[in-house]
Amino acid sequence: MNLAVLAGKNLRRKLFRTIALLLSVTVVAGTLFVVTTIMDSVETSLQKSTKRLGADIMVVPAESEGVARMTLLAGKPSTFYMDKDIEDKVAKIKGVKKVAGQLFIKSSHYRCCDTGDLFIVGFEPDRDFTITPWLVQGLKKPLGRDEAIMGRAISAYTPGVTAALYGKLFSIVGMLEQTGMEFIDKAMYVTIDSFKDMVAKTDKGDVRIFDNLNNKISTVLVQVSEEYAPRRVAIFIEHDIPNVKAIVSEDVIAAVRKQLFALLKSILYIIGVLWFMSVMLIGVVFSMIVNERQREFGILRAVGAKRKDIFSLLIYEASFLSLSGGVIGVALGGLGLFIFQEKIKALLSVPYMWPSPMDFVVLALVCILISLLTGCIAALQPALRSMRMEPYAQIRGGE
Amino acid sequence: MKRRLFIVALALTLVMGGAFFAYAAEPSFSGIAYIQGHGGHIAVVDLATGDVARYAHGKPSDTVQLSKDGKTMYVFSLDGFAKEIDVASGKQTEWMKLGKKHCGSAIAPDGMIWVSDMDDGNVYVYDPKTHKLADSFPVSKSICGINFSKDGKTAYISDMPGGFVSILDVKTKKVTGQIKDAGAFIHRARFRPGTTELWQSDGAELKNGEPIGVGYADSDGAVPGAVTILDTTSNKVIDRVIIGGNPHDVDFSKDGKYAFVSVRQIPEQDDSAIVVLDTTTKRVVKEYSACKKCHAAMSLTIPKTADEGRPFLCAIDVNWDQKKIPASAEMNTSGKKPK
Repeated sequence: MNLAVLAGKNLRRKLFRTIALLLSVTVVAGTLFVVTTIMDSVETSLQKSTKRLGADIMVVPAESEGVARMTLLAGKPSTFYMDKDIEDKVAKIKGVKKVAGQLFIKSSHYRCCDTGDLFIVGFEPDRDFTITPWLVQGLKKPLGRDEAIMGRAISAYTPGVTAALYGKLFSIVGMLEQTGMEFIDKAMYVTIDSFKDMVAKTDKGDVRIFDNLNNKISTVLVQVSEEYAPRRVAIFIEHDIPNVKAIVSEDVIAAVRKQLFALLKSILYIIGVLWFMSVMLIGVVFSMIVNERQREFGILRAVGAKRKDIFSLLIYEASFLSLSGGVIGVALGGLGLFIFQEKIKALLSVPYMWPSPMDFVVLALVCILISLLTGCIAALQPALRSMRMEPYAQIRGGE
Repeated sequence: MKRRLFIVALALTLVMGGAFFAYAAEPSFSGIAYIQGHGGHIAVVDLATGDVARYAHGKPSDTVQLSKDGKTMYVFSLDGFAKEIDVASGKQTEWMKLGKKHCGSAIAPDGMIWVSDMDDGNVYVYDPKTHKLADSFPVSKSICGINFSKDGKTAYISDMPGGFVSILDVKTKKVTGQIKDAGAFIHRARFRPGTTELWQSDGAELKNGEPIGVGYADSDGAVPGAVTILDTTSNKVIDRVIIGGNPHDVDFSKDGKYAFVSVRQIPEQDDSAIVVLDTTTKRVVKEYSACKKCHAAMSLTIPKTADEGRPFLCAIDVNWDQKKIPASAEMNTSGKKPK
């Protein structure tokens, strides 16, 4: 009988104790896996989303900074307006490479619109650098006044179908790639010119929400020249143009990262404490096991087992226990992440995309390795003690 | 007996005469010094009488900048805010967020105010016309003193823990060089009028040989506080005047004959002071209490939580055209509690 089989049998012999120890490792490994996966996902998503937005700065009316940040991060439909000439003023600021104006509206719950509270973004296709690069398939011709592009998260509308908005019918001609950024994924994109048609329609109808929207925009998205830092250009914009706020994408991401990671780090500290407690618990239990099984170890030594066999036997037992706990913990953690993914996304209110399969595997392996080490470290001292004892003393001591 | 009496009389005459000449040698000045303090107020010292008053603004700050006409004080706080105070009326603007942790400031040739940030090592450019942030650019790690060359083309920016002064091209806002070995833990600096000498204050606030920047020097092997004189032609250190305490800023008399060094924790006194140096002999010739004189009159004790209960001053800016403490400042020499 080899040592691994013997270790397995020993664990099965004291089933309750084995399950209790296994559960403690499972809790640590599972929690660690969930938290590190969320941290990794948020970090990757924030970085990818910033790149995908394509804009270094978002210029909005000064009084709407808060709602604009929520729109950018959580895709929360909100409307705010400023004069369209601000777009030209921004374009003239030192360090600005490209500008693209956008106009935001929400669809109505009235009969004019197929879907209520849909975030509709009006943009200028000829100046745009943030929307069209994310089309799944490039458009065959420039976006027309009766056409629209849909964000990936709005599954009700696919290319070929039509959507009625404020009495105007739009043909869906394209879909964007999944970006993880709700601002892009949960919006419908039309040309700013098509707003004029909607204004004309609503002027005749019973929903008049577009009054004074001519020559207005909600935001100016800015791409900065390579030789300037976005923060610096944002300062230039705010200094030269009154009553606007230049939100730097990096800063939004940094603020979220700081806020969110502070919370997640405190959970990591708790995991650290749990891990320490697990090590202590397993250590105490294995110390008891060594005392309890002195006679058994003594007899094993007497019939020819070497010191290192006794040491290995205990380490095998601790390894089986912690490895199984780690695997179960990671599996349960992964299952929990899968089941509650929508709730997690809603709770975090930030761009969120799952890590790549490779990242998943690496994180899982790291967590399992930490679990394995937990058992080995905890059982090390009792195993060394049992190894050093003399067979005769062990047999007498165990009587 | 007569001979002994003669010797005693001669000795007394010499001692008294020496004391008289020593007293008579102490120079007198006429001007008003504005000194920023950590207690959320600016100390105003009448250099003719030594009277002290104050402008309370509410935020612990390191730097105060007088406008060129002396009518406005610009305050930049340790939590990164800016405020303007009208000297004549004492009227103050609301605090405006600028950077993170401001240390020094200087008026640039274009009229903008460059404000250093010791937290992120950036210069924040404050526009006094629009009262807005106009620009921001990185210089080094933890910066404090800012000075411009006479032609306005070059800026000299002190890095506190680094102990070096960065040389910056004002037009491109890029660092072009460095003056090394300016001190152990340096703060603000000032050009001596009519020369290319940059007088760099060196607080030397060290603990176990490492800069700690809380305004005191560890006595074990500590480097004494000093002013390092840098020559901006050769970009080298040319002299070092030991003062003691923690020098934090320097201003000069109009003719450059005297340097007014604001010193935290002057030796043997739990006070911050203006120490006057003769720039030729490099000797201390006079001293003004900048904190305790006023605090004592008010029976004010600094809570132990703030700067370990000690009065800390920082920047100094002297208005030589002003002869009296402005009426808008709060006078506390009578023991009256400030508003």
